[in-house]
Amino acid sequence: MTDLRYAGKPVAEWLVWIAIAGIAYSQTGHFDMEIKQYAFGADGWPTAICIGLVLGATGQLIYQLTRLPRSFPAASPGAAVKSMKLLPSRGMAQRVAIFMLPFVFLYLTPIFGAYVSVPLFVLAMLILLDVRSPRTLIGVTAIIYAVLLLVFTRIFYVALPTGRIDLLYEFNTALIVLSRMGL
Amino acid sequence: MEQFLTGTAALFGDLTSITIFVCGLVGGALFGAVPGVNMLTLGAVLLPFTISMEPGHAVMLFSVIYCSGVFGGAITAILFNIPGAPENAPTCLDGYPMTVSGRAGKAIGAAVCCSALGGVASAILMMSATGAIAGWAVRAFGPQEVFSLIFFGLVVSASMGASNLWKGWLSVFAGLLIATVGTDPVGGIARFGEWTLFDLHYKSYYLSAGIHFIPMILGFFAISEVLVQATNISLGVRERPKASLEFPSLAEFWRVRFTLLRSTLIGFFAGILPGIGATLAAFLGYSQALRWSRHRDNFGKGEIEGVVASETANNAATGAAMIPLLALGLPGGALTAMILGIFQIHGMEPGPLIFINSGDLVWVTFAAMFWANVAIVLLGWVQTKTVVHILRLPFRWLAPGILILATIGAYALRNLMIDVWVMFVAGVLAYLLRASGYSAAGVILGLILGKLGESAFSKSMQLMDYNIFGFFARPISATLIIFAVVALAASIIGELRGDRRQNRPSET
Repeated sequence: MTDLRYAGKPVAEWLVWIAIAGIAYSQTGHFDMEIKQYAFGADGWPTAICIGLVLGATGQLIYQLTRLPRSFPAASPGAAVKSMKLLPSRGMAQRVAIFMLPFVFLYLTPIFGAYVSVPLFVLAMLILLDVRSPRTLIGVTAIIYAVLLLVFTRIFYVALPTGRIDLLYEFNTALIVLSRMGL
Repeated sequence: MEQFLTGTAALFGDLTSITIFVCGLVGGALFGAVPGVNMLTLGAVLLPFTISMEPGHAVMLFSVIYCSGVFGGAITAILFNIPGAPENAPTCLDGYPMTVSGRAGKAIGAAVCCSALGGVASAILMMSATGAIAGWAVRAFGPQEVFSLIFFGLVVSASMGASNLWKGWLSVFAGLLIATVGTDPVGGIARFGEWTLFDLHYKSYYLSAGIHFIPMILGFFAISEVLVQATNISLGVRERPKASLEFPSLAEFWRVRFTLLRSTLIGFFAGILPGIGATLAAFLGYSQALRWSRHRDNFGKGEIEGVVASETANNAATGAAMIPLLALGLPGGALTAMILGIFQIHGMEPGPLIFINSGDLVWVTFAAMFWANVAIVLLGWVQTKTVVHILRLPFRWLAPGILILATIGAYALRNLMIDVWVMFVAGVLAYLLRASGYSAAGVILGLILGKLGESAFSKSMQLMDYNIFGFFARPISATLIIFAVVALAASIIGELRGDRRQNRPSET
């Protein structure tokens, strides 16, 4: 007999896929208008894919349920200690910060401008990755900043955001002008 | 042969030609390697300058960029799991694990040599039979065949990189669903631009325009990889890959000779078809290598055959893509469309008559593509001996650079911050999917082929008067559909047998 205590993860996965397919299908109502030259309409293809997702998710659920282990391992004191060690710790906080930092960077870039937010982001990421040497912190940030200015701003003419705060906007545009000097 | 030698003489006859050739070669490889700024960016920047160039030089420059650009993306795919272009995505599957296991030199060496071999073989085929092949391709390949080929490609590549067949299919379906966001290919109706959930209404012009695949690729490969490695650093379990400079031996190449041949044919065949080209070629090449290899258990763990298969196929597609362009004036992709533009800027119209009216120019193009593929070996050898040293740097130093590079790549595409958001969200999603055994490559394959597949399907249905059996009325589409169904059945049976084999020891 398989142990159904293992069934939680496969069922959760199935529910996620069904929810995705269900939500996507429910939104096809916004574009189910008739197309004269095409009988299946604009919603035909997405509907077929939603059905495919449901079938795939169900196949996956059956596949995983038929392969469940036959017994739940007994918890040992050692395992309990291990799991205690895995509870929120500095490492967990570090991982959460690594995942969150890019989104903070994305939020701040249109406000501060890329030429202000990029070095701050690079420094913060290096610190989160346990880089502590001031020489490395400054060196890596300077190299990335130089590539940003010389390669992407000067040569490729990438128009990165220049910010919405007056002072920072002027700083950003001044750097762009400076990096393109002589062109 | 005489025409080829004349073309070669014209190519290397003066210093200007040689300079343009070298610049195109290095520029293509460089732009191909940087995510977001691919060979199309370089092509778009250079296109206006071609007005003042000699037609031969201009066409030659773009042909060389095309060859080296497709190859260039393999380097970052192998070293950092960041494909420079969609056609390099399957290279990540085995190229990056080779880097992790300290065999980066071998992986790059294999990519270099096989890109060159695939490209040269394709160039020879292109030179010998452009007219005949182009005529056949256009007559024999309608929307039904294109749809059947995409269906076949999806079926045989579905389980690639996933922990089981079902997860592979779910990954592909997820990609197909993302591809439906944006305007539909028949009526131009915006899909998923408007959302209503629990009485909340949301309208997005960004979603109405569709999700571009470049931020998705960067998110699924580059961002998710940085997150995986950063997690490993925080757990203290990351080992730095060894920066080996070892080139693959002749014996290793001999071992993969059939994969080379098979991928060249697949690449050439897929390259002829407009709009499909190198990406499907690379995925098909990889999946067929996986199917026929004696070392299939090593695929995804750093098998050199995986790198050989995808890199041979994608470069073999470059020569083939020139066939419909030159012989019929039909560009298969964005860069070949730019080449068509150059012809038109200089008052020429590609088509059957171009071989009579501008034969010299055509043979300069052929010679340029042939020699560009040969030169890739030299370029790649230099890269193998130099770029691999980047791996000596700690990943902690590289990670912010990779994130900034990917950010700029996603942003530069359309100057939209939302593309960068999409990239990072895709990165986090890919991290979770990878951790659960789903395939990043499968999602990308579905995303890239979804729109093409839907377009071909809708045209087929209109042509066949909505009779689904019409696919069996045409020999090529019937063969492809039957192969796809057989492949699907075989993969399900294989999965079940694998299960039984896996379960047997535990049952006893």
